Order: sequence, then structure tokens, then C-alpha cells
Amino acid sequence: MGSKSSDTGKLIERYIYAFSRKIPSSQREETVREVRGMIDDMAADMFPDSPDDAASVIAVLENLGDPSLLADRFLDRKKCLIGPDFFPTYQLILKIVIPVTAAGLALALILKGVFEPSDNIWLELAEGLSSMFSAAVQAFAWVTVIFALVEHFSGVSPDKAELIAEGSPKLWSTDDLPQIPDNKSVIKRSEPIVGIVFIVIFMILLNFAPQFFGIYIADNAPGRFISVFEPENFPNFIPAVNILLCLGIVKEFIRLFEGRYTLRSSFAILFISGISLAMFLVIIKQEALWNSSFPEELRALIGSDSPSVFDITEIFRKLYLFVVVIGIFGFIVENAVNFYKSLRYN
Amino acid sequence: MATALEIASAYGTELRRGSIVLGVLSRLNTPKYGYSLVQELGQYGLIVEPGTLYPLLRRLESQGLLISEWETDGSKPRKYYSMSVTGSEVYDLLKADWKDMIFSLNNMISED
Repeated sequence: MGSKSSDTGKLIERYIYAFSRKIPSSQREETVREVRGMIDDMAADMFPDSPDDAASVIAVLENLGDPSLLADRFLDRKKCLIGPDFFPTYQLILKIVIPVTAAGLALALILKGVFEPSDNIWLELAEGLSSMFSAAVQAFAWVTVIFALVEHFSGVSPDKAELIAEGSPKLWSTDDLPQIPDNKSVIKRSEPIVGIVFIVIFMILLNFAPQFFGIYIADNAPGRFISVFEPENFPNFIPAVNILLCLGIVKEFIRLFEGRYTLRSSFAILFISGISLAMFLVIIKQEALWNSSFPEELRALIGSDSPSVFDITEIFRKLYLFVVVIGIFGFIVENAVNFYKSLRYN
Repeated sequence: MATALEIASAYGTELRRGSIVLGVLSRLNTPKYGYSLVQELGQYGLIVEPGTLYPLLRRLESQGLLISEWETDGSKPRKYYSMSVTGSEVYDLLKADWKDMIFSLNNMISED
């Protein structure tokens, strides 16, 4: 049995292949060489008379066990998408976001059903249920992705933790103890959660039923809506609007995880809300977003007898200005409060 | 519920886990390759699976406690590990800890 028969050689190659797939390419060559040597040495030690027999090789490989578990040990990496630190919050958010997504979508579908009844109610219902299901799945996916990122970028990596535990004790004094936060600096968990719930509902309605953002007219049953958004152009704005709303959700997550007003969370929120404000102002400035026939329809509704008494177009111009001011004012107040509280109460 | 045997074996594994490092360091005054170390530890009664020891050697090397060199002259290329300067400092400290711990625990256990 001088040379390996091709079958046993193949078995080892398959094992090495399964092992190496889990090893990053930077470490692959050397690790594979070491494992190959290990298998040879084990076979020679356990079966000195027949190290190359299929039975011997099988016994050695089975002794080593699942190649992907072996690779894990080599990498010394704890496989955790969402670790114990964040799991309870993750669970909580899922329990809120998934039902809220489903409920928001149900609301959008009911509105649609009432005001835009279709001929085939069963088809409508089936489509509604399937889009509810896919929205819930998407909500689940997004929450998971956000938490996985938080897990990935936060805290002490297992490697570091092990180093501290094994080799270099970290110098620590009682000065390192955090202050017990002033009650006024604590952000109640309910605040960001309610914020997330509202943003999610708003997002679903904007995505699935933008036509209902407008004025309801009960001229003939079941009535109709004059949408403020231009129905044909609105889909083009959806991605930007969603990014804007997601930024809002990220902001709430920062508040949720930080749990109190701190300088670093204030700076992070300043950064995000600055981007949001800029996006918001750019979006609402787009003429194409707004329903161009809205003023006329409204005028027709009220009765065009007195256009000179109140110029509807002028009212809209003022309304637009009002929204801009509110947006900027909200931005200033929010960030001022954040910075005030984080400096004052810490 | 886990049986007494299962619980004891879980704690036993934990006890051994840390002590393996001490055992490994104690043998690496001279360069050795993975499997020869498995055998040597085995001769002293410390049974370590190769699938556990090889990754441990790599980790100790990445922490700077071991240095390694590939020996490619023989029929099989082998990676030889030995203690670095830091490694032998860690070994001395760990050894002192171990002796203290054995002393204390032996005293406690012998009171039974």
C-alpha cells in the first residue's frame, strides 16, 4: 500500500474541499496544508499497517468530524448573526414591526376595496393577502439586516474578549464606572418604538395607497379622493421617499439602542437628520411630485364663482412655504433638544 | 434534565479547556509539529483531539505566544511550533497560577 488508492485520495480531497470553503482565502493555503498533514499523521498513527486503506481514511475523517465545524474551530469565530446582547430587542422589534406592517397594509387594502372596488373581489383578496405576506417577510428581512449590522459593528469581538480573559487583563479603576444617568436623560423605549411604528405605517400607505393622500370628496357614493400627488409620477419618487423614511427608522434605532441622550447619539442624529432634511426639501421642491390638477379640481369643487377672493394656487404656495419652515424648524428643535439634554444631564 | 454524568462531563471539559494551554506551552521549549504534540500530551495522560489542538496552536500563534516554521525537508511538509519570548512569560505566569490553584483546591477537597 505504498501510494494512496485514488478512492481514498478523493475522499481526503473532498474533505479538504469542504473544509477550505469555510476558510477565508488569505488563510486557506496554509491551513489546508496543515490539515492535510494532520490527516496523514493521524492515519499513520492510528493505522500504522494500513494508513492508506479506505477504511482507515474513513475512520480518521470521521474522527475529525464535520469539516465545517473543524473550520469554525480554526477560525475561532463565534457564529452569531444576532448575539445575546441584542436578541431581546430584536425579538421585541420583530413582534412590533411585523404586525404593524401587516396591519398597515390591511388598512391600505381596505381603503382600496372601499373606494376603488374591483369586479373580482376574490382575486383582490388573494392579491391582498399575498402582498401582506411578502411585506411581512420583507419587514422581517430588513429588521434582521439592521440588527445583524449593529451586531457586526458593535462591542467586543470574541477574539478580543478571549485575549482579555486569557492574556492581558484590562486596567480598570472605579473611575471607569459610568454615571447613573439622570432620569431626564433617559429615552424611554416606548418613544422610538412608537416612532418606528408610525414611520412603518406611513411608509406602507405611501407605497401601496398613495392615491389616498388627498382630499376626500363624497360627491357620489362611495366618494373619491383628489390626491395631492401626481399619480403618474409618484412611483418615480417612491425610492427616494423610502430612503428618507428609512433614515427616520435608523434615527429611531439609534435612540433605541443608545437609550439616553448622549453626545455621540446627538451627533449621529444630527448627521442623519441633516441628510433627511436636505432630501425632504429637494423632494417636495419637485413640481412633478404634486398633482397639477389638484388646485383646479378643488376650485371646481368649491365652486369657481369667487376665484379672486381666495387664490387657491397662492394658498398652495403658502402651504409649501409652511411645510418648508416646519421641516427646518423641526430639524432645529430636535437637534437642539438632543444636544441640550445630552450636555445638561450627563 | 441532564444526568449527573452529562453535567460532570460538561464541567470537566471546561476545566480541561484552560489547562490544555498550560500543557501545550510546557512542551514547546523545543519546536514540535502538531501531531507529535498530540502524542506527547497523550503520553502524559492529557488526551487532546487533533481537531482541537491544531486550531489551538494557530490561535496561540496569532496571539504571539508561539512562533512557527515550516519544515519541508522531510517526506511530509510540517509546521513546527515553539514558544516565543512572550509565550514563555505567559507560561511562567500561568504555571504560578496553576500551582496556587491546585494548592487551594487540594486543601479544600481533602477536607471532605
